[in-house]
Amino acid sequence: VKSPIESYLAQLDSALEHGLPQRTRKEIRDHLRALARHHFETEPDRVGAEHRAIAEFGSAELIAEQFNKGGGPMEGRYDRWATPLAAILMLPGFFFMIANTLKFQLGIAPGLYDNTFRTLYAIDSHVLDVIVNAVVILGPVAAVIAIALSGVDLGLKIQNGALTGNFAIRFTMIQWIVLGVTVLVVLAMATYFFLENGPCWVGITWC
Amino acid sequence: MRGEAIKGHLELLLLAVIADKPAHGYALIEELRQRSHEAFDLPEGTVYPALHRLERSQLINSRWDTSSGRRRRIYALTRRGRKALAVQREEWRGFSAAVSGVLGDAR
Repeated sequence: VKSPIESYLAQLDSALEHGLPQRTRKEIRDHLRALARHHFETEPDRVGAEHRAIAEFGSAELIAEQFNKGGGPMEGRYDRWATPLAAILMLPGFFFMIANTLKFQLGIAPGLYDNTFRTLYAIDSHVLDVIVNAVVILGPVAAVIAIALSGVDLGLKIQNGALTGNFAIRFTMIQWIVLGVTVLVVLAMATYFFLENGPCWVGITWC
Repeated sequence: MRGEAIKGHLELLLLAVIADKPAHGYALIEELRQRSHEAFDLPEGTVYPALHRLERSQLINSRWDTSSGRRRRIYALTRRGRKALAVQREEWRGFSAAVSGVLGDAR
């Protein structure tokens, strides 16, 4: 069951043209909680204190209308940069998968793979080898984490002996696209990895 | 005073309050209330659309602060904001004097 403050934030999120960014969500939540704490000093009912705080804050429609008129709420710096950062982190893995699939699965455009990865792997350097593998494999994983941190709002705490919390997901269309492509890259890599190593692990082939 | 009456002036009022001391939204609305002797009693949330408009115009900037033990977003005036405040203050004083002249307060 959502607390009155979390329900209010959900209402505000749907009333805003482009949704409620993380930064503004946190900012308004902090304000409402501070106001509710203030009322809780004189009012024994926590839920009642939250409702009073919301009433003083203004209806979700009113606040959304004013935000919509002024170009919407501001995003935090991290939220602004998370998507381009994730796209950059995911690109080497994406390129590797495309090149790999074109050459080894479809047997076309071998140069795409050979001219990049073979050149890199051909350099006799263990350190370079590790770096290339880390960028290709860990890049997409880091991209998923970067996007998730910008779009998932999760908070848990124990209050008066009961576990309370908030959970919301707010992704823009671009974020969904980058996340979708990244997850596909990670899944494709995992599939390759298990297809290559699985038979050896279960003893079908020698390794 | 109804919120409608100060809607057009809220941004100038916020700039003036922030100019004295960087503060978070909750403190800003309290300061507005106190300085106006409770005359400016807006729904508290209306301060955020105004603050975000000011930040988008680069008249203020903001950062998270946890020095009080609680996380707050603190707003501070930028150089551009300080200049804008000076200009708007002068404009307001000129306007206010003109209105007073018409209404006959000076007589």
